[in-house]
Amino acid sequence: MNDEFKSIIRETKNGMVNPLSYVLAKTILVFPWFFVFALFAHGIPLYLVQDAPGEAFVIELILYAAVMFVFESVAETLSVWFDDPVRFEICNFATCSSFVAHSVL
Amino acid sequence: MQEIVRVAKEERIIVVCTIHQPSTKVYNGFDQLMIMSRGRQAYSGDVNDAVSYFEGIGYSCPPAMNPAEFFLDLVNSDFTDEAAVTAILDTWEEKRPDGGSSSHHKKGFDDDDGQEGVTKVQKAPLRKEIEIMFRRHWSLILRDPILYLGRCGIFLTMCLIFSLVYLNGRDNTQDQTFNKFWVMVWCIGVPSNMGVVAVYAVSIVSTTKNICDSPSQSFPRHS
Repeated sequence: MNDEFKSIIRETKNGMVNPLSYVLAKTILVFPWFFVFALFAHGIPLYLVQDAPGEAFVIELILYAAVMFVFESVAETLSVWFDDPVRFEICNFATCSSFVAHSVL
Repeated sequence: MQEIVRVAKEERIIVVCTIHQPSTKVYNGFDQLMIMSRGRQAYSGDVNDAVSYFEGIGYSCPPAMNPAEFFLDLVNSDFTDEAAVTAILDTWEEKRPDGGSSSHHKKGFDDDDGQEGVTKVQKAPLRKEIEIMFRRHWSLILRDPILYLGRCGIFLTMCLIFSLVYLNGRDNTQDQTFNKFWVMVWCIGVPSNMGVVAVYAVSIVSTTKNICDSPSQSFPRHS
């Protein structure tokens, strides 16, 4: 991620790309994947095995996809914020854990 | 050199080499050539056209001489008259096929990250830029499907394990409250945190290099 970010920063500095086009293209291409992730993570395990209420399936899928997208974005932000992987891991763990606790409670 | 060309063809990538005195064999392996001196271009284009270009401006490469060596001596003021080097650089500025859209400073630069020396760049319109970004990211996703498909498999496997471990939590009874709680914690928390692993897995090799402190730069065949 750092390499990708640095390459975009360099291209932006050189006037080759607008950061907006990078963010737009990446978000539009990557976001649908989070619905697929949510489907794989919760579809069979929760709704088939754990017998979760089916009427909540669609809204839960959308919410969980959004939550995962936020987590991914936080991870990407922290990965370009800190070059040191240990500090990145600690910050990410703390941030994500607080999100998880909030989501569950 | 053959190995680099093979990798470039196989991976469909552009390899940029910054090289000072390539042998004739290495030089012949390049597709594109850029000769630089004092942060300015002396030539940029097809490697096969370089000799004829310099011939055209009055500098013929002697027979049986390595063209790379000839060009580098030509743009180096230690071996060629200072005024002649300046004339060669100015001539390219006038004759370059793109009409000199990219001009260069003649002094040093502070920014290590930037493409040093380039002050004006032909910029694509925003629509074209977004299209290029889409294509680039789409290619990255296709080249590395494990990053996405792999995560699908991992999420399914892990959450299946959690849901089977807490199988009794299916029952909607009071004594299964904690089981339900924990299965939700694991099924929400673990896949979400797996994003961190995925972010670390993403690695793009940037091929943009600092080109100004090098007298020549060449691009090997890739297609």
